[in-house]
Amino acid sequence: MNETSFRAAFKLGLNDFTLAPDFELAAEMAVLFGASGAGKTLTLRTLAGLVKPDEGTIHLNGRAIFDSKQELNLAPQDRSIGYVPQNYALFPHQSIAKNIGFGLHDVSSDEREARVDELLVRMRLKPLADRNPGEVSGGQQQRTALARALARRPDMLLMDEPFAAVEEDLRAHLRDELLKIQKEFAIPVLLVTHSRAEAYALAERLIVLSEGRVVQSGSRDEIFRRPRTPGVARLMGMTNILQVTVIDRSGSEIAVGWGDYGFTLPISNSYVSGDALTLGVRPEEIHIAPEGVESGSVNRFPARLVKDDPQGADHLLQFEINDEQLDVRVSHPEFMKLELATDQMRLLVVEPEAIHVVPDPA
Amino acid sequence: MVSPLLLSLRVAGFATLFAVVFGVALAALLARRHGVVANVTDATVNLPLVLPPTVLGYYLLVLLGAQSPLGAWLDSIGIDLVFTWQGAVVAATIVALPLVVGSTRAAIEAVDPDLRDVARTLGRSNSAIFLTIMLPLAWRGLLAGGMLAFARALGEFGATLMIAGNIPGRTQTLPIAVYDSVQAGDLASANRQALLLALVAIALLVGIRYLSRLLGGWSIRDRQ
Repeated sequence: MNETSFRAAFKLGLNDFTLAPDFELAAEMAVLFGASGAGKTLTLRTLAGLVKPDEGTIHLNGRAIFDSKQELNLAPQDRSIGYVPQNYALFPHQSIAKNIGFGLHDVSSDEREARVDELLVRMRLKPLADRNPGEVSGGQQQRTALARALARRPDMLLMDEPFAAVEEDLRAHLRDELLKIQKEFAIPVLLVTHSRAEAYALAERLIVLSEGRVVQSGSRDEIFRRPRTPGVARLMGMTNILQVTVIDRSGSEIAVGWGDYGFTLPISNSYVSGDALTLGVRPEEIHIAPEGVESGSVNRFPARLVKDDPQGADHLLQFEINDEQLDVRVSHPEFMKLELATDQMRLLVVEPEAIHVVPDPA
Repeated sequence: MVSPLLLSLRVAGFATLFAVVFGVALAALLARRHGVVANVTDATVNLPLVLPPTVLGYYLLVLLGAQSPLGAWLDSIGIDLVFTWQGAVVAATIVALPLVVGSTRAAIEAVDPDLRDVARTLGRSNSAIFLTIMLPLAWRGLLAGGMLAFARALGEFGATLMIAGNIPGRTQTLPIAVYDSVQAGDLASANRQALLLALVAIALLVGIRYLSRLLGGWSIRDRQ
């Protein structure tokens, strides 16, 4: 990982909501992820200088852009941070080219023309240069807003739900574009989303925000595989959260009890019998044994299929066991092959490697 | 000697000019602000909408008369506003001002606040943003306000009579001329003058609708 180029730790009180994020970024693609109302947009607006925090510091490339102790609060104009709000906020009365050049008032007109032209070509907007934003598609509007923010060659880029107004088929392509642009400009890009798929597809670093605080920050795989709290686990789609008790320990494995059942999992920490643990298992990592497979061996549980929720390419199934619900995701072909039907009793298989111990259950 | 119609047009023209200049500045300052100062300023600007014009004219007479410090100072630099057409301009400007402020302010507040925010992150100063983003997008509101102001200034009667008087050829505007003709029993003149005023007012109101549709376009289409 390259060195840190951005760091923010501030506090902002608004009525009964407190925003107090604390995180740092390298020149990488970072995703600020969280449920609605977690404070994602407010965080971006604060970093851009549009909202003033009560206290704290914000540093970009070693330079303080906000420091409450020094009473330093750079205006948005002086922060060199590009900002693309959710609806893109293109100027409706100006052409695409004028929009892109809007922030280039302080360079020579030759330079401005050259930079606008370069971005028009780069973003494949050249044929639309003289159109107004209302006359182009959502994806083209998004690229215009991106080009406008990049024209000033900012030291950082903030984007709020950049793909919300773009058709689904186009999103994967636009995501690739954005990743390429981040590499080209080599600046920290902080993008807000509440879509897990989008976060997964884009993030090198993932910052999970909940109720105004960063609950976990790390590489994408770290957050998806090893969420720190049950809340992060659920946000990351690890919807099966199980409360278990340690029964026995042997070498690198422990045996735990879960209601009437038990299973083993590999573990590095030292636990003793009687310890309470919180486990997380992703729905796609629970398998359903074909009919006829015997129960009794480790990590296999009989459960009743109570609900089938078909979601296109796959099915989200709900099984009942121990008076608890387990979510299981299977592909549609697998669903057909297994001849699944509601009210069946089936054998669920949870491999030891699929089980994650949530370190901070509070 | 100036005809009442020409005098009315001259007074209304100058009054509109002043009302637009001060009105736009006030609207820019008041837009999206709700502090005590903003509220008091807003109430003061709107006072002419609720105060009888005669009361307004009386206050103007007191404020600008030779006995007041302001009047004395104006007199010392050679400006005489009492019983002059310039005084009528002052009265008409004040009654027209709230129409410009109200209309322009509403138009500025209707502009997506994200546009202003993004423009700030693009390094543009507040005044540049006002001139290149806010005004062009609020243009229709400003135009409508200006035309309403002109119509209102043209029809000004009470405050104008108080401060400028009724001096034929010097301060007798068209509405005052109508009053004068009726007083004198000259109904033929009264009819002609009243009709003229009504026609100008209708033409202005039709013009506002036509122009606002003509200039409509983008500001509505891009605001889904």
